[in-house]
Amino acid sequence: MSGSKKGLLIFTFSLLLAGAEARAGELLVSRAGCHFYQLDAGKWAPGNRIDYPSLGEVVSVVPHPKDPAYSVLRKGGKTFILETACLEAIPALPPAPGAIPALPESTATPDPIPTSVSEEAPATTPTPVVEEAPEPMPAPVARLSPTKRGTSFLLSLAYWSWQESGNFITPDETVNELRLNSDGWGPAIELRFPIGQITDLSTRFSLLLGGANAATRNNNLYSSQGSSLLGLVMEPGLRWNPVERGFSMGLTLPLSIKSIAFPEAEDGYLVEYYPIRFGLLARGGWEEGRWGVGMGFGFLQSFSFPMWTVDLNLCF
Amino acid sequence: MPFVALIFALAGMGLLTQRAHAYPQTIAQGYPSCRACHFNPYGGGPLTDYGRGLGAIEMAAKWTSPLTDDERISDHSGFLGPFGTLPPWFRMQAGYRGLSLSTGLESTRQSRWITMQADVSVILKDPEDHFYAVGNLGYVPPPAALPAAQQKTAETNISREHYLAYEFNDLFSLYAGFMDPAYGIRVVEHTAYIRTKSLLNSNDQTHGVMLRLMTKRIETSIHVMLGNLYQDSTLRLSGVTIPFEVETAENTRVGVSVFSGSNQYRKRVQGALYGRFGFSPDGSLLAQYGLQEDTPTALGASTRIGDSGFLQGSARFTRGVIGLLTVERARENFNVGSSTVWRAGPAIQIFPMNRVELRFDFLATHTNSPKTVAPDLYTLLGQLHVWL
Repeated sequence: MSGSKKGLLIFTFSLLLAGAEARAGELLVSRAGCHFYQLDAGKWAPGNRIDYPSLGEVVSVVPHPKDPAYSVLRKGGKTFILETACLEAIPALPPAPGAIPALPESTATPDPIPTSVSEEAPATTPTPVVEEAPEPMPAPVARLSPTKRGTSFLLSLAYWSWQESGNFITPDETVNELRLNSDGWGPAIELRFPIGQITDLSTRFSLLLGGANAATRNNNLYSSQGSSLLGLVMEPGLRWNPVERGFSMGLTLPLSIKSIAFPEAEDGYLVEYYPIRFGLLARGGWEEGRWGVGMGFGFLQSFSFPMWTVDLNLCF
Repeated sequence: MPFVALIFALAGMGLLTQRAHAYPQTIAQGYPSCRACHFNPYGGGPLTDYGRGLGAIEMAAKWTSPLTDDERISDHSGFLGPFGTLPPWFRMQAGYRGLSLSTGLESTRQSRWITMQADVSVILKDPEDHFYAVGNLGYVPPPAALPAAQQKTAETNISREHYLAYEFNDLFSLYAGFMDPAYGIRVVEHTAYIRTKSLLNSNDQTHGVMLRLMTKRIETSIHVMLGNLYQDSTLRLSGVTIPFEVETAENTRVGVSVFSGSNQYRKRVQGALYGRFGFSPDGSLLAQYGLQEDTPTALGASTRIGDSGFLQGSARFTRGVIGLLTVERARENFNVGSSTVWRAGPAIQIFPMNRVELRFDFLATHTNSPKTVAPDLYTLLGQLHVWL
């Protein structure tokens, strides 16, 4: 490699292949196009997120926040900065070999060219786009097809809490506003179906075992405490994981179905207490490996009452 | 109002932003200890030079900055900004934090402006920061609950910390003076239940001596408290508090704190388990759960045992914009049928430029009472924080 290239951007990105006997799947990107050992031709574009279930890896490509000429590849919490032109210049590769061979010695040890790129420092002096023809590209030694993100499944322990209203009718047909506080714990499952690079369609089912308190504004009319509650909350929604798995957010439409064993009133009855309610919930998720914590805040019953939830998740 | 709250919720979760970038919440960024950015080893108070620089280039947006180079932005983060630097033995910081508090959104809205902080801090130090003295003086408004006549005569000057610090070596450091008790996570929300129920509100500092041990993975202290010597002697809460924190993994720190103190009217024993978790550079979780035992000394008074919990997730959507989602709980007393209070809601924290912070919170407070069903309460908070 010529001396002029020594100062060029060199990006080295290694993925260790699970089960491979030797290191393979190493990606070298050189701004001058000298080495391209890419895993997924054409996929390295800003905004993409590439999931390698077999590797247990997720690679995110995001635009550099300061300079569009650069992009940031993120993997496992580490960031690597390289020129966007390098990504765009990656050509398509021949079909993948049946077996993944070990990386040849010549490429297993990357060219020890001094690099001007640190993993942390932002590149502030972008050099022009590739202006010279790439050197002949060595035969690819590894290729993994970018596997579409599969359906993921979560098991959760969730807590829900919300307030809603109803009415209590006295024998003289007077309508009295009734307020109900409900909360409960229970197991939940969630299915996430990928519909884009960073977007999932999600459906969550939470079973609730808890209690409810109810009282009219005039407590002398009706009051009950600790009535047992059995409920189910279904939450279809969308979830975004914009950068990587460590954080996600979403918007869901909870539908709660519940049964509360209110004690019967001697001098009246409960009406307009609906066992089915709709709502809208904003959700956040913080996940590390298989474990995660989720939180949600929103409204139930035509935005009249707040509801929130906290859950501990185990992802499969 | 509900639509405003929904917009908050959506914005809080970043749905109104076009793209999400990683926000290196300090624990996620590899700063498990507060000492890197604050002179006070448990956070709060004036920033170190490093903390000023980090805040300027990591937290603040560059929307209005004429500078594009982070290095220069960091260079201009000192008290004098672009006009120079203070001598290495002297540092200053001035800050103002005001709050627009709107309550009763569910019924009759009431709003007022509260000055939470208006103070100046001065630091005298040796150039290596091994020895330093921190002094703080500010204005505190008279309590709104005071009658008007008493408000006129109420003390409005306050010092929230003044202490001497000596760092013997990389392991041990000693602090003596007036400062916050070292206990739990020192969240910025001073009205959080984990602070108010633990007697750690914004004016609950104590005189005392604190010895701190910091190793690669462990940070612990023993803080001997003499109480607030500016208070009447019968009110001074003297005792000891010990926080013990372990870095169990990268960007993960868990801890336990115990606190024992007493004055003429009460004996307080409390403990808390807590953790700070960084999830790559994108966000973080703060979690704390504590129990408090309060024993009045009055004859016939019974011991009260209560709890407080705090869970807050955060994510930076872009540089200078952070979304928060918080759920809290507290119960005053387990022994009798007291109420359990839950508070939850989203918030947006915006640093449009260095030295300026805007924050908007929407909070819903929900009370589970054994006797009544109180309507949920909505609160809207808007904060302006500026500092030099």
